[in-house]
Amino acid sequence: MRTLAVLLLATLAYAQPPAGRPPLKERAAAGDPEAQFSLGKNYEAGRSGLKQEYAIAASWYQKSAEQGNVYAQASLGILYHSGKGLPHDDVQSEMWLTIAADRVPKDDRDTIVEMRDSVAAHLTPQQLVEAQKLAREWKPKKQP
Amino acid sequence: MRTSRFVIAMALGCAFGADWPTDGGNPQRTAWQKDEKILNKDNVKNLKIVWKIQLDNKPIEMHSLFPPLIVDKVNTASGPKQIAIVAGVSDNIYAIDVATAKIIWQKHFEYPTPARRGRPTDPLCPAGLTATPVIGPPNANGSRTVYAMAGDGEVHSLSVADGEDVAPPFQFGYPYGKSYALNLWEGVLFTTTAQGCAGNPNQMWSVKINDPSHKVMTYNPKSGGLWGRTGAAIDESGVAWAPTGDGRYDPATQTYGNGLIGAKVVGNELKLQDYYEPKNWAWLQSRDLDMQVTPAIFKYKGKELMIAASKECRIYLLDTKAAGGDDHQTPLDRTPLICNEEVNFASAGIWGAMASWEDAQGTRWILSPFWGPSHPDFKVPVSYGPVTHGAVVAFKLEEKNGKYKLIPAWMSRDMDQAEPPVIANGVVYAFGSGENTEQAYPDRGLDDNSPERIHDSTHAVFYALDAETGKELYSSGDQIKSFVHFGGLSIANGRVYLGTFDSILYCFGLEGK
Repeated sequence: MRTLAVLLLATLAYAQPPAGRPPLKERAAAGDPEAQFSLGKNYEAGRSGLKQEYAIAASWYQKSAEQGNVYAQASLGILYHSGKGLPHDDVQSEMWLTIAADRVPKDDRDTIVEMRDSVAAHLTPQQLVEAQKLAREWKPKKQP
Repeated sequence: MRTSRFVIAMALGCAFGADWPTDGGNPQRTAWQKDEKILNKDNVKNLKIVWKIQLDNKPIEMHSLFPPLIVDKVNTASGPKQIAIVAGVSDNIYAIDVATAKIIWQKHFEYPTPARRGRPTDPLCPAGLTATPVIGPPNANGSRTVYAMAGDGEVHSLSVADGEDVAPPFQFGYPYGKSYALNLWEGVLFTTTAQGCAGNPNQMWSVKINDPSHKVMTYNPKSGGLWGRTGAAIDESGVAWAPTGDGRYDPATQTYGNGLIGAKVVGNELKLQDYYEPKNWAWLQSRDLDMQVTPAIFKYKGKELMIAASKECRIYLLDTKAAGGDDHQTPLDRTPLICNEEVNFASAGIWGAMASWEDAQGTRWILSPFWGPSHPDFKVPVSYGPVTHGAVVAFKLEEKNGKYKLIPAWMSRDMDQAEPPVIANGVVYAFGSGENTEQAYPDRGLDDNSPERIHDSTHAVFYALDAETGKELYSSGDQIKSFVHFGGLSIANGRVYLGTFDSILYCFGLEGK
């Protein structure tokens, strides 16, 4: 009985967000880009009680990326390149990795640049120009 | 008189054969058997299973047998023997006569069931013995002691010759706390813990064997688990190095997630001496790409260097005297991405432990296993077909004008979840574990459960490769019938050992040798 109580408490502790903090899904739906990235990551990995659904992961990354979350931008670029949850599109991949590389804190920049350049190697010169143009023109959007 | 007996014992040991007294072969975890005289790149094509033995160890949560420890010329009641000491997860220790494949003695540790344990079916937290034991140096009489930590955290000191207790057991670890391979340095035992099994903190642990109080000394980096497969590697100064799992890096609060910590026993405390943090630790944390590979430590041109790696799938070269330089974030060199293009947290990247050896010309070689496809941009001069499930990759270390560089040399054939290799006499021994490593599924998300992973696992395949070219010299094909999880290779005196999930210990060697 005592074990059951401990298990129940542990389960509740696992399931509930910290006191005073809305659940991740609520925060994500309310437009919190950090929460959107975390939720996307959980869907991509199939964690925290969620099914592994790349398309839903991509949609949350997209929302977060559009608001300027650099890790979501890079993650979206990775999904576009792998074609998981999204149609394979190296122009979109290059665009998002370029946006992320231009904005990420310098300590993480090398990694994102490495991925960006790796995708660039798959593009024609015209595609690369297009991706770079899209990246230059991109502007963050505040979500409601 | 005692000194001369000790010298004679040491000399006899050296004269007669090689040992493999600890996981990874030595405290530095290079996985290099320097004293192999029988197996070489010309004759390993003739390898065969010279014996296999079914042990009565019951597998728990995918775990079964840990890498055997080998001691040659052990004086037993029936004469000198070469003995393999094998630990099993259900609290068993077996001493096997290598010549006859007979069990000389075996021990089962009994203890009251601990109050807490990991979730049943959770492969991360088996309720039993999880730390590969370690064998101490010969005492004045040439006798050897194996130190084995039971699932309740007690360390038992057993005579290698007959399994008898040579000292009372003492508490070191946390019951069912999943300790990793023991290491031993000048009378101090080290281990690391991960996954918070049964509520155990993730930290480095140490204890002096001869301390009557057996005070347990710990250092907690406030990170995710320290889950390098072979625990900590120890440098020439006695600093134990271990990787840290996902977490933040904040030196102001002594928080060292996603890095590598070095701690040393000073007086009666285990104190942080140095650390390394990849500059992109935040990216690693954001994508669950933790550093969790036991480093390998070696001498090179008068310096002591260390190689480490992570699930991101790149290798770092570090100086043990200043890991990461003044800012703790600048390695001597780091490779490009070798694998894990898709940034997968579960079934890709570098896992386990690193390895290193030096050839007759003085070239220092670095070896790493990895899981999943090789990175399409990783260029290596010699390879053997597409790598989709994993491989072993080799680098040469070069230094010019104080600048160090890891130069890709070869990439092995595809191996189904390549595990940490060992090296001896110009041959790399490797294996694909055949283990299903999936932790999440499209229909239900994260569901890391042993029954499903066991069902979906296949069988291990053991390989011998030319250490200078990576060319396959031998493959066990389908002779091994089960998979390997947290097992590993050991090599000494012409025999290579591997234990599998079904509690069979395989011994590969040459007929009549």
